[in-house]
Amino acid sequence: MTPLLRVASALCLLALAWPGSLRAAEPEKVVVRNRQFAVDGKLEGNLGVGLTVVNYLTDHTNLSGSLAYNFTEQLALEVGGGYALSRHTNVADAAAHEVVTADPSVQQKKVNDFSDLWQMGWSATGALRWAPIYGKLNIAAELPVHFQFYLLAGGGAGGMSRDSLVYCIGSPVNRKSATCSPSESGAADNLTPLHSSAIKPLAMAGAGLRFFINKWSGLRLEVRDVAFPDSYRVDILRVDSEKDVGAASGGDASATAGRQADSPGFTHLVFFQIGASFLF
Amino acid sequence: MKKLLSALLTASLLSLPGIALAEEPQTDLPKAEAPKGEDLPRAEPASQVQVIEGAPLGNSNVYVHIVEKKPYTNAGRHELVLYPAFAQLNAKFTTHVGVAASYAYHLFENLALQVTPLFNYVNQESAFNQELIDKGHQQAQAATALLLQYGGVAGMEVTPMYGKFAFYDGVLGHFTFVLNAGAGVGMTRIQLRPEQTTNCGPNSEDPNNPIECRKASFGATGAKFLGSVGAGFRVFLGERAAVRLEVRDMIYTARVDRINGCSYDDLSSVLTTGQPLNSSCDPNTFTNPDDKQLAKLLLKETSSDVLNNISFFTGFSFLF
Repeated sequence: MTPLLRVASALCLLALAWPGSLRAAEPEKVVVRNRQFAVDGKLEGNLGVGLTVVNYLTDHTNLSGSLAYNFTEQLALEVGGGYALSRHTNVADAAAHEVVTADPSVQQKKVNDFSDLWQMGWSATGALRWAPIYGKLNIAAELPVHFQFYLLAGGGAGGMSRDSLVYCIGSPVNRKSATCSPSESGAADNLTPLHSSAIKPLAMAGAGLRFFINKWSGLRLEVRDVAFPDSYRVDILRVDSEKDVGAASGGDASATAGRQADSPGFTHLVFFQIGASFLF
Repeated sequence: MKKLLSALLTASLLSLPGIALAEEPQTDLPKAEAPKGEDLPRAEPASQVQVIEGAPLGNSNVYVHIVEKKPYTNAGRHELVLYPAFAQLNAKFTTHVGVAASYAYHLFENLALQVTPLFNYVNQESAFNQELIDKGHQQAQAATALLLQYGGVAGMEVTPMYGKFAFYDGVLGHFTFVLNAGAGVGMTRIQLRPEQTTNCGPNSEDPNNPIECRKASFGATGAKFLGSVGAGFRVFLGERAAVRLEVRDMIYTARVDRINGCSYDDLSSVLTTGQPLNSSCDPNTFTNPDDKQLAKLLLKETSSDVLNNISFFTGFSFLF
């Protein structure tokens, strides 16, 4: 145990032992237990939009919807789907530009592709939602707002696509003005990035708050981590990759330069999600 | 007038949970006679009032009055907070993990003055930034990757919301939603070279040309103005203890034109003649011989930025 944790534990024990601590009055307890908005046995529809919290090489805006059934006041099963609008960030574009403008026979001869470059498209998920906390808060001593705090965990599948930043196929006339971007397809000196697509399993975990507006609607604020297995190529000889014309149309399965990374890990997309919830 | 007072008194008695604990709430209490046209809390017929452990919960007006009652007051109290760990949430180019403490004096129930010193025991460039350097030969500008070592802010905290929650039907908790803001000073530094612990020494890829294993090296970039805005929850564990869960945005202005007191011209002079142009530059403060060259490269283009270091703070409060 670190000294800091020891101090924190000692402070905690001191405060709990202090006279007057934990003097929650029983009548207040029964009042907060009385739920003005009950969800037990109700069906629920949700609509939301989520934005990735930190954008490294990709950014996503996920439009989602779900249906849920509340087995009890605390437990619900939620199935949903979504479609994410995604793109490369400026940082990714700058990195791709730096690599593609370097002469592969002189600079950056052998390169590794970037991790966490898969972009999510559609997704279908199922999750168990646990809402152990029901509360009320009082805004400016006037407006009581009822809320639930919940945790959720689940899984599913998602349609993913990936455009490499370093596996660029083609022969630029002018190396200095070369680009390697799917959005500039057809432009002079634009090389074709190696494109991959796959359906990948998803794991999902999150936490959120549902603020009740009335008996049949509410506002949801949620942070949700969607994780899926990453994959990318390493040890790519750029001289070979630029000549790999078959991979331009055949994708990653046809690529001949480099090899798949041994331990690519997982990609995490952390969304801050805001949405509306409707109870039936 | 007497009738009005009588009605108000009766309504107040009905809304007090301690009074409502009577085992047979539908009897014995004096009946209110509200004057016509007055907008008083509407007493429901005794047969329709849902009584849970003695509390008359059927009347929605009762909810409002009871939820306003605070078992713990803040006004005039002192609060010490220890944050044993806070971690940066937007760790794109930099990674910060630190410890902080805070002292607050609650001037009023909803307003406190607050002082927060903090120390980042981890402050280094992120793995993502290193990946950009390794694979894309790209690097965040010096100002964008500025690291906050330690600092302090003073300001105020307001408590606009108060609430209660129940964990299942057993544990009752009280919490406040807090907003805070402050200003102060922070000491900053910049990473010149990342730590190298793999593919180095005897494990170098080319044994004939081994790469030296070494720790990360840093250069000081001086004191910067530090601002802070935050929001979070203070969950009471009792009258004198609380857990704090907060998100704070530490904002610092970053203009990097000197590293270890040396400007670009100083370092050019040091690398050619061995002597800086200004006395503020001490070449001996650079740990490794090639750090001066790395610092010069970072200073080649003077960069400036406003950094938002958003961190999640978990802390423990002691009130007295």
